[in-house]
Amino acid sequence: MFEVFRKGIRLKDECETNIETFSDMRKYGILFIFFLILFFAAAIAMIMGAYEISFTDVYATILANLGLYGDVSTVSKLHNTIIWNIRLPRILLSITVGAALASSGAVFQGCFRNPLVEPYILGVSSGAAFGAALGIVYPSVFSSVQISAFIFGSLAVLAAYTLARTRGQTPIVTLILGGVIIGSIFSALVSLLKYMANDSALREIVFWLMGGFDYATWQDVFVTVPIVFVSFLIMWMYSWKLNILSMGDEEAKALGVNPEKSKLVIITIATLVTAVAVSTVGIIAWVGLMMPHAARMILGPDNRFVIPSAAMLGSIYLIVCDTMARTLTTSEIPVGIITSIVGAPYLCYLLRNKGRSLLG
Amino acid sequence: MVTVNVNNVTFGYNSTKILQDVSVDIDKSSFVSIVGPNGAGKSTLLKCVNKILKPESGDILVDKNNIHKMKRMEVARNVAYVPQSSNRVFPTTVFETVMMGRRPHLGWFSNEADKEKVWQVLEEMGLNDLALRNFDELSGGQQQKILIARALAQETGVILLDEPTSNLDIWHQLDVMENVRGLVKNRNVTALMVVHDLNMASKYSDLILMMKNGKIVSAGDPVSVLTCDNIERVYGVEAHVHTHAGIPYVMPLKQVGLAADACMMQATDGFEA
Repeated sequence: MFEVFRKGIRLKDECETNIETFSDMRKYGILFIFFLILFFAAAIAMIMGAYEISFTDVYATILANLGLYGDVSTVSKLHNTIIWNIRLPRILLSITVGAALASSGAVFQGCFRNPLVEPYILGVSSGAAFGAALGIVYPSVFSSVQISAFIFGSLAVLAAYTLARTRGQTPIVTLILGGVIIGSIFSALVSLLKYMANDSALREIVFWLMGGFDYATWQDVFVTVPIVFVSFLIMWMYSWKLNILSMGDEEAKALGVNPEKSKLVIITIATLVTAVAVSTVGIIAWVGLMMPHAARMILGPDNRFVIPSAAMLGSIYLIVCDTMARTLTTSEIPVGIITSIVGAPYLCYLLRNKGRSLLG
Repeated sequence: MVTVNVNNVTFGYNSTKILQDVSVDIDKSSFVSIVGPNGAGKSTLLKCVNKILKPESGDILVDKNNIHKMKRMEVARNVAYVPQSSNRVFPTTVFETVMMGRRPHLGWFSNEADKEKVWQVLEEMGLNDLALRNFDELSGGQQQKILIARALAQETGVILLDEPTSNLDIWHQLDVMENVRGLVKNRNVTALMVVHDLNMASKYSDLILMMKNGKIVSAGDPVSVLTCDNIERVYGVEAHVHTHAGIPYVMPLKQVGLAADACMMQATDGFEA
């Protein structure tokens, strides 16, 4: 009897120490480690490239441009162009797009209560593809491919959402079906445009669809970074509501969260960041599906930690993939191809080995 | 001590009325059971009290405050809800699940005092050994207890339970009922429970509401509600009621009419009890 009692006490102590060792503090620590990895990944990616520039030259150029040390006029013009106008915006854009896709993927998965959802589920990618194709085929009508992609990407999601809304509610199944319907319509329209396009436009559409950072400019960085950053903060603020939402609408209501209102805000913001990312760099697969899973495996299902860690993992992953895209061969490989080739086996591994504990 | 007043509540989908002009006053902390045939509107009544559903007309007051004038978060601080079952898409531990009950008080952040509260609740319910197990891995009885623990962590004056014993064996049924009775006694909460088992309702309730076709047809202590006559009128079942130690026990004998949902159309004039 006493033995059993003592055992009970010991078990409780063990539990508490376990909880303590995996407390919020520890999770913040892991987030900080991710941040360090991201920082060093970016720093190393700056040095790598088809044109070899030494470590000191790379950072001398950056410091000079930031006005911290030295003078831009003393840096060689070629180095300045490669480092400051090509590599740096490209890396900053990979970070932004990776964070955008991975955090919105985490948010969509939580909101839809489905671990197989990705940010493109509501048709934003097909809509954006159609917008981009329109811009490429009819440049006189749609002056900016990017803006046209953004507009049609957002329109597609709006259409899917409107389609799914019945009697003041948006059930998840109809929402996903709405996304499938709208997605297939826009895909068909993209095929039509491809069929009608001349050879050079067709080539451009195909490249756009594969996604890539090769046209990254400072202007892209200035447009995307603030939008993605602010949206990320909003999604992070909503993370605890997302935890409650992932238990289903009724329980969410009982715990004080209005599911319709929260879903609308969350879907709007997540769509906005996805549309911004897609319209800037094209369709990059797998990041939004995979990184939230990786984050959950490391930190558990609490979205307050999943969202920031998924964002950083997404950034790291895209930096790595984009550096490979730039350096593996003499000509550039579209990054979407690399993210898929690296990503698919990884998800396969997850499903085979951790599928039970991860997906229940 | 928390009062619950339901005043003339009507609820329906389109033209089908699920609740018709339901009124009930619960004036002191007590264990209230809602019984009745399938489709009588029991769960609907429960969900109206928690603002999960919005009635067409009528008011619901919790502790004299109209819940339809309260924000949802405020309702969650006053009324907790225990669903019949709950499934998780992403595996959460028992500790995290119970911690969810603290969220209406906390929002984004968590602090040590609240973690301590969760531990206390787990200990009170005898669940601390399970704290780090995944919710999904546990048996139905354990899951039900965890959902009750979550409601407890919510620290509300009213707890609503929707058929908490339906999927459980008799040991766990008694366990859940004992737990709820403990809460009513020790924490002074009002528990409103939808339950199918008339004998469980009889054994534990202070007040039984018997519903049929969206109306309360009989309300009172177990002895006055669980009569042969009421059971035949409401369920269409002839039953023997046997009183043991002051508690009536119901033994159903045979069907004597149509199922309650089948004779819904033939309306209800006789039931204004």
